[in-house]
Amino acid sequence: MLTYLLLLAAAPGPVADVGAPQEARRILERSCMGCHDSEEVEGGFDLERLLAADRTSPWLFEWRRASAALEIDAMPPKRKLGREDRRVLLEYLAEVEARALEEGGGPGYEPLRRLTRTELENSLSDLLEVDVQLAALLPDELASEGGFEASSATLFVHPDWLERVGAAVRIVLRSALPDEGRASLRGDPEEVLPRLMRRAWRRSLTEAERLEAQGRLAELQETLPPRAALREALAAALASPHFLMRLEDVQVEPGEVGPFALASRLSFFLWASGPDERLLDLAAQGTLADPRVLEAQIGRMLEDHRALALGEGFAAQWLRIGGLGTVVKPDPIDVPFMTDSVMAAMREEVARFFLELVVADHPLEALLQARFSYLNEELADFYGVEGVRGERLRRVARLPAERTGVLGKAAVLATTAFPDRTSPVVRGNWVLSDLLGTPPPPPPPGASEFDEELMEELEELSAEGRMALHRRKPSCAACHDRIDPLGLALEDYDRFGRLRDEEDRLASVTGTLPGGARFRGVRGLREGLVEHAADDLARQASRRLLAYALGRPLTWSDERTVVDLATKLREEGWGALVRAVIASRPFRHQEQAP
Amino acid sequence: MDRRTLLRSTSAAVALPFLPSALARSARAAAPPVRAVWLYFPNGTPEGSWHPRRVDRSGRLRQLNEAMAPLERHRDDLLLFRDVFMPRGNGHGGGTATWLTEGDWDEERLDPGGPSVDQVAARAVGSDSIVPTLTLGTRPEGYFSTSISRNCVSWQDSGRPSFRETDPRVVFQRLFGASPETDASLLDDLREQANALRGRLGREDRAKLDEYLEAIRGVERRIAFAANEATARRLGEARELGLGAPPEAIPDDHGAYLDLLMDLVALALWSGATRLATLMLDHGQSNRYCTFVPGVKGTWHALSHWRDFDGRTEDDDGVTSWSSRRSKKAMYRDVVTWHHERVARLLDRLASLPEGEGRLLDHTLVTYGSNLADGHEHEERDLPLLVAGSGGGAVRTGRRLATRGPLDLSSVHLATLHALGVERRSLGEADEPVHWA
Repeated sequence: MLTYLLLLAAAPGPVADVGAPQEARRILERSCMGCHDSEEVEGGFDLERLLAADRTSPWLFEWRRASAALEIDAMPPKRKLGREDRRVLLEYLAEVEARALEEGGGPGYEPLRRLTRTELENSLSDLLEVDVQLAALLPDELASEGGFEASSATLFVHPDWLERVGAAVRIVLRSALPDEGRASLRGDPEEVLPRLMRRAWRRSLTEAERLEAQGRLAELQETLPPRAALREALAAALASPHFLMRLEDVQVEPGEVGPFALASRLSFFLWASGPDERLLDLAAQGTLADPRVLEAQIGRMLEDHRALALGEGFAAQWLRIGGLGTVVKPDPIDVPFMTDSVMAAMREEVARFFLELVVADHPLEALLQARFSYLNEELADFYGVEGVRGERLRRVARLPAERTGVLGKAAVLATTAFPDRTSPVVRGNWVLSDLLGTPPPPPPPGASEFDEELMEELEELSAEGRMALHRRKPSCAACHDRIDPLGLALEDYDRFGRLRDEEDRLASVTGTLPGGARFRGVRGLREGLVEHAADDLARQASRRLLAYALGRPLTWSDERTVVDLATKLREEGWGALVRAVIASRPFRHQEQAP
Repeated sequence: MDRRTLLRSTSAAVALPFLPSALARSARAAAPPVRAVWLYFPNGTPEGSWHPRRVDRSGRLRQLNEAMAPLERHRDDLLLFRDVFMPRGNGHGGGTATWLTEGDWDEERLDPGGPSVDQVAARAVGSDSIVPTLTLGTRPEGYFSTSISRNCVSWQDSGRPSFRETDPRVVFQRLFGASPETDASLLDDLREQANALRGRLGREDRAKLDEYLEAIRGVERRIAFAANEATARRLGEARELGLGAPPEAIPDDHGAYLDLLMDLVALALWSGATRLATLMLDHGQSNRYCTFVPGVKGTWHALSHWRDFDGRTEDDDGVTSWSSRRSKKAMYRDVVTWHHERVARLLDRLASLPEGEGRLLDHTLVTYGSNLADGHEHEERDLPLLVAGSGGGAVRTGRRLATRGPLDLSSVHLATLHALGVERRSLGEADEPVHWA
């Protein structure tokens, strides 16, 4: 308290970052506070709280919502701001943004979390050298809207969960280490146990831990046959917080993360699994953080089959295609061609496509413009591509033009449709929110209430006409002028992602990209995005990848890092982005534990 | 039983702190303990389908609404309300997450503003049960199946939902099955490992590790309970009354599935495994196809938007459409009525299980309701809510409570806490409990 008073006394007036200057404040109070004071909080936006705060940077994300609404003149919904007022506000918001970038860049704190079901599955598969499936044994992970599964914010340890993990581990162990038959865990149990424990706990064991484990094993061997005894001892090691929670190098002090924590951060990022023997050896020697060693390891890890987790985990969650086959599940009788296997192939296509972007270090625009992909026979049939045989996906050097990049992928197109029809709004919103990270503001109150007349009119209209109709209302138009054309450009594809017959396609959709550039058709959309939205795309990809790598929601302070990562991605490509994430401060350092 | 197993079970019994079960306590005490159940249903109920058809001057229920027909047989055990509202909003997401809490929903922080009432109660009166409170729901289906806000009414604390179990067999095994395949010395080891780490962690990480320690304690309770003779006796009696172990797999028949979950609630309360339970009949924006209800097509949520019947709004699946508002509204009502029947069966159970001088229902408070009134408008006034059972005489049932002006849902939750013996002066905006004696 005393320090605080002294600081106050020393500071010349209020702290430098005083929030909005008088003029901006006056405009905000006059034009926005009616709905956005702390009483009303319309749309969940509490302007009063923002103006009362003594700093703006910690509220960057909130302020950005204001910029987004002002940039397209969506707010205020009725009485629009005068040009000069809008200029003043946007200028001020640009300052807020710049200040946050200047002040940010701290390492942040990666809170303790448990492993996800996927990470447990992969870790156990690697550890026991068997294919482990846990979907039937453990519940689905819940997530926040738009959050990654592996996030400290949503991973909880409950007694029920712990018990079910314990039971699942025993089932897995019994199949990996049956009483009779194939021995997959080679060697003398006294030696196997500490080796597997090191791998499971993702760090060297202390001498005491090793002795204790061996003591327990010896005790078990008195009453149980050798394999059963080893199983019991392993079950105990796998119920431990050292396995279930990310506790490799416990660290309270701020600074560089320890070698074992680094090994785990690497392996959970690139493999969604624990580190292998090689990584642990290097961590134990203390050489893993050595730039040349690290670079060699990243290269090795990306070549490993486990790196597909980057596609299956990161790309699938970023692009939101994970629900294909479960949430998005067309009726098998009405839609016989959308089989479980073809939907699985669609998801895997995107995963492998993304992985190649990273491994072969493709440039940013390849995400939208690359023609290569991975197909199996069923998916090739779906796309009308000839000459691909068998169930396994294999690389195809050049797909037809309409399958170019992620905007041509069936997985993306099928998950951005309603169950019965396409929706240009959903697809357009996907481009803006998920792909570019520039979500439109939420619809104003009452936006979804169509009156009867309107509904009747709608029935008569094509998709395009319907869209035009709801852009007639000025309160809708501000956002839908941006959203709809993006989605309409993707109307060439039906709700399953099939290319429509020529006569069913819309004649030349034109639209405007965020920023004002015009485009025509899906090809124009791709080119326009690359040319005019590359910065948004690069930032969004960087933001999502960093959040995924850190396993925590990003804060305002991380935006500085995001900007640097985005530059790397634009200048050097996807592989460089992954390496830059690994080299970044938040990935390599830890703030003071809260 | 080999020597080691024997050793383990005795060491478990010795090493554990003495946990008197609620049952043992109830045998000693004069009055059985009060139990509470909160049954949540999503998507509201069509206008005009909740309020009773006939109420006499004194407030006595003479005839329920036709849509409530399944509950008619329990009329004398019901308390109905009027004009219930949630002062802090009632949407599909936030309204579900805060149905039992006293705060606002914050999507960014995944924060319902504090623990839910079942958890508040569990902290006060749940420590002598095997599980402080049972958290159940049906396996979600379709859109929003993994949305936290829509899938959680029970919250251990801000940002920390309770683990909702959906498989009756798993819950049964957990409560009454053989002890988990583990022994006390292992649990002690694990606890030691966690404790050794604890001191080296920061404050927030310690809280995470404490979740793990709490989980260990949960497993220990279970071992103790499974070894309890009184439990075994009650389970034997329950089996004779038709409350046995659920089948291995979740039944395809949705009604049979819900009945199993309801039976489990009854059994858990009666055996003393817990005094508290929440059960979500479905998640807060259920998109389940309700074709299991005769004559019904489409998803529950789509049906709740009954004014749009052409099947073309974004709530629809596009395949299903209806011939008129009237018929769609009737289907919506039938879905709700079908769920009332599930609840009525739970009440049948609670009324059939003897306890003390009366029935288990007499010592239970079953709160049943939704966060929406009419689903089409997401109507927030006059929310459907009823309480069944008298909670050991706390509630005078068989009536519709006459209250003046809108009634804050929290005041009902607060009264439930008081009936459970939990001292709480206020809950949310409610400074006093609803007067229902």
